[in-house]
Amino acid sequence: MNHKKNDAIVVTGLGMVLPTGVGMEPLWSAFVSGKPAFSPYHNERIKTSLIPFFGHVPQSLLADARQIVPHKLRRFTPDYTACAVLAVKEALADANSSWSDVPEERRGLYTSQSDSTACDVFSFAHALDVSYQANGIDFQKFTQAALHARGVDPFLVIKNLSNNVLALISLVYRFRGDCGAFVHDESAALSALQRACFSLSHGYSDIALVVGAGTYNEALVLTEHYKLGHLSPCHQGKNSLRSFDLEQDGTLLGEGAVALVLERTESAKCRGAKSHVVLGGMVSTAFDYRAKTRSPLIAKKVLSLFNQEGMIPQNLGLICADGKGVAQNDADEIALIESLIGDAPVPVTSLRPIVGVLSSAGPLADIAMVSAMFEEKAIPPIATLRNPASEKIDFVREGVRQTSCETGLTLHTSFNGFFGAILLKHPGVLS
Amino acid sequence: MSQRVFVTGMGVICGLGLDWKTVWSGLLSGRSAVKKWQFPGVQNFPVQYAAPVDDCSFANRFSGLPFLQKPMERRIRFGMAAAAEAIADAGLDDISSLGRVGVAVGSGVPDRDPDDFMLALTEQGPSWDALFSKRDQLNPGSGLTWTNDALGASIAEQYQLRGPVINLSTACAGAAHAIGLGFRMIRRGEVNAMVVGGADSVLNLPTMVGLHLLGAPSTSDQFGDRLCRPFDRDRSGFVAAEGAGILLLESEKSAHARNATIYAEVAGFGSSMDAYKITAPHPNGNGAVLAMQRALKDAGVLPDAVSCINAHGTSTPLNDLSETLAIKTVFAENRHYQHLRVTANKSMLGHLIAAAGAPECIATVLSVREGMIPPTINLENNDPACDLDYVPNLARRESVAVALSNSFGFGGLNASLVVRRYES
Repeated sequence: MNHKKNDAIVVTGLGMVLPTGVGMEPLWSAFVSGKPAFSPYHNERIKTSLIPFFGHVPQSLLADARQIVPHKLRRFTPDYTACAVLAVKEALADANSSWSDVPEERRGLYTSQSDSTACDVFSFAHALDVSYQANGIDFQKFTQAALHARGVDPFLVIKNLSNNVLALISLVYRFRGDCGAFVHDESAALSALQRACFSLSHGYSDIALVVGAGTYNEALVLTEHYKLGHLSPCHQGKNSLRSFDLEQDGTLLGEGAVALVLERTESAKCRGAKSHVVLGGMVSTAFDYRAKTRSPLIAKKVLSLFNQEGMIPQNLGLICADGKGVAQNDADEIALIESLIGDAPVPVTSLRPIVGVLSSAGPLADIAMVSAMFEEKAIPPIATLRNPASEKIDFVREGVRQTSCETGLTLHTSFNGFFGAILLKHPGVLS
Repeated sequence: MSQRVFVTGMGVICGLGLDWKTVWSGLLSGRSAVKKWQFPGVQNFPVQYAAPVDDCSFANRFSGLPFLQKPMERRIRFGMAAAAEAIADAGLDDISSLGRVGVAVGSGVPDRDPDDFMLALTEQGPSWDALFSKRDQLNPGSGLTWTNDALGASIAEQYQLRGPVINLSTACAGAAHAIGLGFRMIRRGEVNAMVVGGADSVLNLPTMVGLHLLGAPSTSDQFGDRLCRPFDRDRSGFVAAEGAGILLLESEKSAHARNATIYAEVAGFGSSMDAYKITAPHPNGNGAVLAMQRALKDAGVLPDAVSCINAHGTSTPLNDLSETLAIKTVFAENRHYQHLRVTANKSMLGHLIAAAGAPECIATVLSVREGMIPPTINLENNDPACDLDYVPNLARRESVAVALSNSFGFGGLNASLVVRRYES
């Protein structure tokens, strides 16, 4: 291992609010037992039979999450931001209370968030409806509809800003250090992680919070994904997200928030904080719509990362793949994995069949799960995989595989051509 | 080894012009892009002034670029045009020839076509099924079908850039954050060059309604097209604008290897959060102080070496006062603030929101290169609480070795950049 012991960046706090509930335990439990956490799709404004299941954060949890947000800030807070605030609370609690000794000015915050259209689509439609006249929109009527008929949320712009998560968390938890708000989806999560690591490595921060949050439960977002053929018709109910399966027919979308507390190893040791996992490095590719497959480019970058770390991919302990269940994404991932490890028996699993596609929270949830795999010496299965799309790859299925690992690689794709990978190490490598 | 970072290409699209030379000339002559404005088909909209890009001029100017002719959001179109200008300005036929090249851009809220919202309407009220059944009617150039990372992705795709593609959304500090992150990435050797900056267009009904409901843009008609008046006693809110600014940042090694024109050096970056209020800056500018101090420390520059600040200067009552107080705190030693020139480009450009930091950084680059400081126009009645030298109404010729460019955003996010003159 190439890491200088005190330079390495470690994760010392994990928090999440996902379809499985709050915290690591319910997510790990669902992953191990192969029980998908999807529920029948619901949205008070959207009635449809076209989307049977969704990875909803339970309603009761959303209510709890909103209670965590100080009352005066709730008007600026969409549900997924409230989930993020709760996830951060969990992560900071997990990181040992002495984190609060770090001065506010030395607390870095890096968020990744999805676009948001939920706040305005129907409210605008309503307001426009009542104000539309033959010669155009009467703005006075529009304003009346907006302000008095609750047609438009007065804090619409604030809620729709893609730095909403960052703003709320900085206020609630008093983070005043280096910062960045990245958009969107999985690529944003990697950007946030990379910049947080940079900030810690170069002394811009002494502790860094990385948060990913978002939801796909928005009318126009769902319309787009349906139009693009990404969504499974769910003929197999909750088991319809079939990562890497020959019979896959699309994905299921979800929502939630994950927060990670990052520190330099030395700082964590000084605080007496437990290190869950070591961030060994990460790579990502730009978007390339023209390429038929993106795997050669990312493979080259991943190999370069392994070289830097003095490792070879065939010796990896495990791969936590994305496995969206969307044909192009899974095909790209399979090509990458095959080119990286050949026939080597590196176990490959995926969390997606349990919670769905989580946007920018997804890569962070995968990191949390790899840390649990290290800790529990167990690799949960790809719950819905029956007919693997690759004979070469050692997909974990039909039960948990008991094995002790020191290294793991997470893979991430997005719907817009992004590809990324994160190398993770067991904290024991630093001792 | 740490690399110095140089600006080797620039592009600007805004109401004042469609290339940096025109915009710079306009800034120095105190010309304003702010004008009477209204939404087509919308009566009585309370915000009556803005600084839009002239669509006809834009179409004529860029008709030769085929990639701009397909449907896309306004902000993406502006950003792509500015990127094309910056890359051409850098004298590069193939920017990917520089090796590892990435993109970092800031943008804001997607452009939403009200007609798209209307698709959801039925006699019984809004319905997703109605929207879904009419999905092919969605405006292909609207933000509803373009995600917030479209600008970075589009630039990377157009120029085949395989480096990191970073899309930031830190509100009005977005472009400055993007420039700062690009600068850091080159300095530590992650990449050889970065296409950085931002693009935004809030001149659409949903976003402007949202901003108006927050009370951010001025609704006054007292001063006509002189409405945007940073640091003036009668300032009453920002004037919304649209456009883009893109810079090519390049490592010293890369720039020297190809004998590039070097405009200036980006020498430091600082960012911070207020943790005070979502909709208002800290009254003493505490977050802004941190950002400026961090940028100076990052550059290894003492406060007394700075002679000019390109202020955020939004023309809102809160920002201009808190920024003034922040500057006085950072440059308190020997009352150096009394010797600073503080200019507010927004008095002429309006507020380009997430993109604002990019044309303002470009103006800062040109100030240190040419020794000219653009004025803050419309500064007619001094606010006693805003008592710095804001270079009122007339540009000033003055040598500038080191300058700061400030950007502060909704949610209490702050960014400050240090720009240093390049001595060959």
